[in-house]
Formats: sequence, structure tokens, C-alpha cells
Amino acid sequence: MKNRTMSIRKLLVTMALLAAAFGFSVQSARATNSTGTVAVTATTVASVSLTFVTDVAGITLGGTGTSAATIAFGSVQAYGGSVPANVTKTVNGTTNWSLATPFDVVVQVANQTSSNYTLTAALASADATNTWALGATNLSTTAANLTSTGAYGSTSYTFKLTIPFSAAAGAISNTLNFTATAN
Amino acid sequence: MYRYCLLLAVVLLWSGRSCAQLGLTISVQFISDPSGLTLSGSGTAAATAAFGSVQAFGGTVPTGVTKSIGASNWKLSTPIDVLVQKGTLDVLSTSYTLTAALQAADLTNTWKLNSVTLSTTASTLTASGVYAATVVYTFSLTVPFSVAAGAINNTINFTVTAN
Repeated sequence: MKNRTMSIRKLLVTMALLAAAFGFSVQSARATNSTGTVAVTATTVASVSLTFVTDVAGITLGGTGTSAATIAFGSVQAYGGSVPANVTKTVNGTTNWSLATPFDVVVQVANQTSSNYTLTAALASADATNTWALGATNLSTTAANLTSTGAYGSTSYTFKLTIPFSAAAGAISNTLNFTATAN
Repeated sequence: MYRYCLLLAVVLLWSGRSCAQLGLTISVQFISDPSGLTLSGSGTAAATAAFGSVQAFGGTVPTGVTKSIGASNWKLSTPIDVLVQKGTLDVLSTSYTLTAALQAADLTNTWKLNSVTLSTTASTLTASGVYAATVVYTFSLTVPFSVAAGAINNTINFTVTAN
């Protein structure tokens, strides 16, 4: 009788263990999870952006919004004729005539502590005949300082090209090279 | 007989605890997307996305990385493939849940997977993922202009759970 009691007890214990183990295994199988990682690394570098944008009162720039824009006045003449929209033609007595138009210079800074910027401009090619100016600053192949305390964002500059009456008619082309430096 | 049954119970308990270690359960791996940044450790559960030296204006970004400029910040983004496979013990599972979290808090930059912004609290990327199907997630890191240049490092911890 005692042996029979022991056998039943062992059987019950074994069944309980098996049930627990099975249940645990099944539960584990139904709720398995796994982990993974993606490490991300980057090193940011400070940078400055300089772009040219068509001014609301200026000639339409080719490449507006980029750092390589174009101002194309087309075929123009001192007397008569017409000039593109938002270009002002001025005849100065019997000496020269000029074309003027505003355009926007947009300077932005990223990842650098800077309260303002310095902007310079220079002609790509020397021009001993015509006068190229930005605001009150005449340009040459030597960089001229337009501002040493430029506020980040958009600033309007008026470009002016003055042509002597004495110069022969023909194509006029040049490039203004700008440099913006964060202060 | 009693001893064999006890042994069987012990084996069952032991196997239940070591399934993950034995690779018998669900697994996740990260793979370089054909259109994305080449991951270091592609095909494993521990990959690295190294963007290198990058800048908002000018410069270059690695192949498969897109840079976009906003009004006050800039963003790097790249697709990453995630592949989840179920293990032998997941026979009853028909789908999985995938969550992701940043290992370290970042109050400056914004980390996203698709449209989900990541933090140190796990966010659910999907609650009905399909096994053995590569899923493309677009990772993006947005950096404000106002932040000083320097190193940005963090780890995205993924957890995949069989449903």
C-alpha cells in the first residue's frame, strides 16, 4: 500500500513537472524576441551658403536660388530701345549711360557660432572701359569689401554697369566673384 | 521511469531558456539597401551606418545618402533594409512586432525611421511585420543649423517580438 502511494505521488510530481516545463517552453516559443542595433556616426562640419535670388524689383536672374546666377540684359542701347523689366537705364549727359538692377544675396551659416559675415566681390576679368559697381562700390579684379558685418539672410544689392559713349558697341560680359566668410 | 521523466522536464526547461542563445527563435538583421548607404556589418544584427564628414552647405555625402536643406536645419537620409526571420520555436507566430529606440537621449538632433521619431523610449515601427520579407526603413537624421559642428554618435536599439 505504501509503495502504491509513493508511485502515485511520484507520478503526480512528474506530471506536474512535465506540465510546467511544457507550458514554459510553449510560452517561451510564442513570445520569443530578439534584439539588434544600428550604430550611427557622423561628423558635421561648419559651412556657409551664398546664393543669389531674383529681387522682387529686379531683373530675373538665370539660376536664381543658386550660387551661380546670371544677369542677362540682352540687347540694349543708350538712346531709345528698351531694357528688360526692372532694369533702370540712365543717360548721364554726353559722357556715359548705365544699367542698374537690384538682386538679392542670401548668406546662411550652419553649425558655427557666427553673428555676421564678411562679403567681398571682384571681377573675374579686368575691364578698363566700363564701370562695374555693387551699390557704391566699384569693382575690379581685386576683391572689394561689400560688408564686414552682414546679417545672415537676404540682402539686396544694386548692380550697376556704366558704359562710356566713347566705347564701341558690342558684347559686354564678365563675372562677379563673391566670397562670404563667417565672422 | 521517474528519473527519465525528471530528466525530460529539466531538458524542456533548459531548452526554453536557451532558445535565443541557440538561434532557434526570432532573429533580426540589417542589410545595406541597394539604394542606401553601405552598412558596416550588413547582414548581421549589429550594423553601423557611418556618414563620415558632412556639412549642410557644399561638401559631399556618401553614396546612397540624400541631403536636404531646410530653413533652419538640414537632413541626411538613407534607406536601410530590415529582415526578420522566425525560428524553429516560432511556428505558431504569424507576424512580428518591431520597435526601435535611441540608446542615448538627443535633445538637439532628430532621429527618425520613416515617419517615426525616435527617443529613448521604444517606438513601434510595425505590429504586423511579415517574416522573411525585407522591409525598407528610411533613416533620417536632422541637424539644426544652430548646433555647433562636431561628432554625432548614437545607437538605435531594435527589438523584434514574435506575435
